[in-house]
Amino acid sequence: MFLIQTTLSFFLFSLGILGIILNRRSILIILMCIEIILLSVNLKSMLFSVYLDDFSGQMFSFFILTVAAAESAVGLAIIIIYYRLRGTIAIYQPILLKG
Amino acid sequence: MVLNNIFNTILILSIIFILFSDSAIHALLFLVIAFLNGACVCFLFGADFLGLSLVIIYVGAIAILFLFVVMMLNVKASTIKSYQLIPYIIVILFIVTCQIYILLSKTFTNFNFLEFSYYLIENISNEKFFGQTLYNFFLVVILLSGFLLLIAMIGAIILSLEIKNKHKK
Repeated sequence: MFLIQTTLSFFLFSLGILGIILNRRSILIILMCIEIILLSVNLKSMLFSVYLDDFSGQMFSFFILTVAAAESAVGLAIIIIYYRLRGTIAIYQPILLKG
Repeated sequence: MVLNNIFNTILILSIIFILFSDSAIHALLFLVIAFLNGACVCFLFGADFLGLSLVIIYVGAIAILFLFVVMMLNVKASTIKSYQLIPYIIVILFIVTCQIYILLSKTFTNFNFLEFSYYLIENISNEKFFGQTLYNFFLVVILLSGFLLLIAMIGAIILSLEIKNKHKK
């Protein structure tokens, strides 16, 4: 169970990174994949806290949640500004080449 | 054990569906499902306060923020869809995951968790323990995270503020 859950957390982490690399649609998907990465790190930290009988994992996970909320808010505000400047939040090559 | 497997599989599937979804709303809904299943996995390991925090903070705040942005902005699905690389990457990911599993099984040998029987000295709930450690030992961290959230709030408000030029009289 411990091994399955650890490899699952790593798999979710890699899926989040994969989502950032293979993203061809919008910048919002990048932020969602960042949240997936943080979720996988939270689950892994909780898992190790339960299995090593140390409460620090859950405590650290709690503060990772706080930081995730803060950076989501600021990232979304930046996306709003980007939309105001560009008119769209799609990312594909013609949009990126536009001045 | 069965419940663990169910929540794990739904978690993986919903995250894979985020990458393959057509519109942003579908991706958001799968993200919410992923968060809820992550919270259920937390509950099954006994960390119930962390599971509740995941539901409240991730689903109740962050996913709602995403929903507001999706509603405000004109999020279109791009016409270019290149799914040619995805089978190769999934194969590579599977091989890497198997390697990680083999590596971990060699390092964590004789890891008997469920067979271990311990004597319960005092039955304190997870929330109470969280509160005791948080406010006795991690007080500075709480204050700092409060400042961090304040700064993030100020930053988000200032970034999305639209200053219009006032007419001179």
